[in-house]
Amino acid sequence: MDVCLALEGKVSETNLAAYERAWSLWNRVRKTLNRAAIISAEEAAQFLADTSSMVSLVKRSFPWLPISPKLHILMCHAPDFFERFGSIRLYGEQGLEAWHGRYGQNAVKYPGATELERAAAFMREMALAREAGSDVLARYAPSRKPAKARKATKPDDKRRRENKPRLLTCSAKNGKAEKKRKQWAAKISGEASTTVGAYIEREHKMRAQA
Amino acid sequence: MKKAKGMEQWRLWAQANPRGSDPAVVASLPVVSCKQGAGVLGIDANGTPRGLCDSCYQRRKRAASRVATGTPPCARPHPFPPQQGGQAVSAPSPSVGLMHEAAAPPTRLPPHPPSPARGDATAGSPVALPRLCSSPLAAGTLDAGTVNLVTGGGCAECGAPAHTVRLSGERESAAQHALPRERCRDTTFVRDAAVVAQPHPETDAFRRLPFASSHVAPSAATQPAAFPDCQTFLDNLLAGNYDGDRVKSVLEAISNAISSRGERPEIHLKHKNGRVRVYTTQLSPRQAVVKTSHVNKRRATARRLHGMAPKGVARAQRRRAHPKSGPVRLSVAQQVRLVAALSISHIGFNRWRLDLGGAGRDLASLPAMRAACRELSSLPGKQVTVTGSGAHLVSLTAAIQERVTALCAAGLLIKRPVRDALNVRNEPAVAAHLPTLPGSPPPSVPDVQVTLGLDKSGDPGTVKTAATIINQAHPNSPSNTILAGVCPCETDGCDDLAAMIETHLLQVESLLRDWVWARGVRQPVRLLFGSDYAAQCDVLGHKGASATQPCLGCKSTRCPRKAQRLLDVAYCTLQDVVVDRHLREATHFAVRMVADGAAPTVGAPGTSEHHCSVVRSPLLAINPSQNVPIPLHSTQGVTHRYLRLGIDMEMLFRSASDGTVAGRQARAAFAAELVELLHERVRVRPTSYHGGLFIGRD
Repeated sequence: MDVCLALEGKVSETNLAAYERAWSLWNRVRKTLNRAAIISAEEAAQFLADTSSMVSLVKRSFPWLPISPKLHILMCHAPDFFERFGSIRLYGEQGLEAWHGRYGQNAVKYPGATELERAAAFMREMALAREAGSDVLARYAPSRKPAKARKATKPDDKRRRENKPRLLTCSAKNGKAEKKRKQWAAKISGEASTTVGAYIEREHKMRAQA
Repeated sequence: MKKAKGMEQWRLWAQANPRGSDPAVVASLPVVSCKQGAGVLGIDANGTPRGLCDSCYQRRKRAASRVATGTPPCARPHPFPPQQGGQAVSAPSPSVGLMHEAAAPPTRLPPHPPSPARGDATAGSPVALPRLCSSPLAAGTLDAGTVNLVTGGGCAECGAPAHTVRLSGERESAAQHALPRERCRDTTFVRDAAVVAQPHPETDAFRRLPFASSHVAPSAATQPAAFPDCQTFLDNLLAGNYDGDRVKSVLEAISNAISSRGERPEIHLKHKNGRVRVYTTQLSPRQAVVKTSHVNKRRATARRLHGMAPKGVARAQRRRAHPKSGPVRLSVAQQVRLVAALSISHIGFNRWRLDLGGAGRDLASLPAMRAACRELSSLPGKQVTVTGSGAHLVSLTAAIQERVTALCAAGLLIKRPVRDALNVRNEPAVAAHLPTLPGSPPPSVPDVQVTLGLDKSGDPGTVKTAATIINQAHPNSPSNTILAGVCPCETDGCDDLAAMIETHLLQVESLLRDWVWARGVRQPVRLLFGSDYAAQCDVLGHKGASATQPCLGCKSTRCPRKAQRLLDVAYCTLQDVVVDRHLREATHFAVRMVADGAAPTVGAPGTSEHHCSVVRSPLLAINPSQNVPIPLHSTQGVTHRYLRLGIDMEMLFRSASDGTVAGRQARAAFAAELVELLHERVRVRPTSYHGGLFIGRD
């Protein structure tokens, strides 16, 4: 992975190996986590093993990293949910997030002096748009097999990222993007400073006490 | 032939060829210096002046009739462009082209004798002659004794080139061929007495074929007009009279016509030496496994044999039939739903209908649309009310019931079995005595699973509440979810959320109490709570991620502290990786619910009365094990944390080796390097949403 390659020579070999292993485990976990289908019992067991290994590895190799509630949910409660319901993504919050986009695109089309009136008009239309008729449901039922995406196998395949031409963008957009990247770097650098600084300080205290 | 530039040179060359060869024969044809209609070439038997194309002739006739009736003439609509050299009559400029056209045998089929059935004007006339083409000039060559064959000429009046005149004649001929077919009559080439009596040089195959070969062609004036019988043709063929390359295609066509005539199981062919060969149709087994192109050819053959539509038509019909059936007539209610889903105004829809004209006659008119809209909006599951908090569905229960009924009627309601409803591993004694909670039926009972969620987004912000029925395919698609409320707001704190969700709480309670009807049976509803972590905490009265016991599923503390030593000992911490988990009871949130105005109990740490960071009365009495583990936000959060971990490692490593200041510099440098790396290699850019992560691809 590119991030791991960028860290070569900048961190200890032990940490780098653990970091690569953590990314590998996370890639396996996130694929199962975000699959909108009922998974098998074997895959659920594998998910449980992977999450446990991942959190154990992170806790053992990176002691300054606290286990956040999300990480805890992923390790302790997501496997249970998988075991009970067979899937997490089917129950996920993606549908709710999709409504944000639909509302943002279409709410301006509805008349209303205030946001509340526009929201009410949007609600009325969406209530009408709900395809509740059995005839419509049957007509729009999925009847096709999911298409398999063709993978790029040849080095000169135009699907490969390196063979795709870069899109031309205006300089203002490039400048804005660069500014945002700098902001992100500054922000994440500050977060890292807080966490690691507290860890270093704690370590110094422990040494002093010892 | 018409005199043209280079004609004399070509004639000298052609006459130098051996006598009887094609150039010599063509060079012997007479040449006229100018073709100015009847003055030079006279008129044919029909009274049509030669040297004029059909268009000019008809134009002359119309002008004559106008003169007779007194109508002023009109201008020629589409004059042909002038030819090179200002000649009025088109001339084949290259000599080779002239030679080719003159020497080549006619490739058109012999014209049909005129008959009353075809509607020929000359049918039945004793002077009716077969026409080479519509050009009177060409027709005149058959009966004029002085001019045997003139090809390559054009119209003398309009200057239309020869190919244009010929093309128009072929079109007319094709139309004459097609006429009997259109009238469902079989075209039979029966010669009547008048035609038989006339010389018919053009349709004489015997004459046409040797003319193209090296043999001396008999002239039309001396050759008797008679069709050779089959024996004569065969004798000539066997004698090698038809050995020319130009007649090969004609002979092949004759052979094919004979071979493919009818469905004969055997073909007998008698050779010159008297030997008879019999060719029998044999069926050979088809290859079972063939490639795609072969399969396509077989399909095309099968379609042709069975009189089916060609492949392109079948494809088009299949496209039109998408997704399952043929053209569907939408009811007015369905049109209302479609218009609403596409966010089209009724005025705009009516404009479409009017612009479509006859094609849009199945679309509902504006009054019909409005009436249907009013009728549909009056249904309980579609009524919307506006309160101080926002716009809400009047009856979420009715909307869910309506959706479940529609899914059942369409046969699309899917069973989602729950495998182990009471999976409390570490507290089996507690699990065995758990009471049944509304919204959490036993796993043995078939249920309908409903996910309720709310989330804030947008600028200005709106909190949206949505209900999802899991027992269907693609439950997270917006068209499959039920938008229960949209609440414009600035903040989404606990009190704000309480006001927003208050409208729906009674409906949810009714839903859990009364269940839903599915396939004629009442089925319990399993309620799951799916939102982001912050919204889950707010609705369930939890203090949030910074609380002592931050997890909504178990009682573990956040990290070990002296002040909460009892809790740490009793429930462990999140930082203890491999420990027993102490899940919250199924009724934990239900027990924590209190009446309005009442103070919730606090309890001692480690006891069942302890609040476990649920400091307010929960708005929903939900089973903690039915909180959805927020996959989207977990993915975003863990990915972000891993990226930050790389920066942490860099800073720690440099701090340990080169000091704190160097560590900070290395941290900032690597953060900038990381974001540039993601931009260059992964082509993503940071955003303010998506948890502060990246979006792409640029």
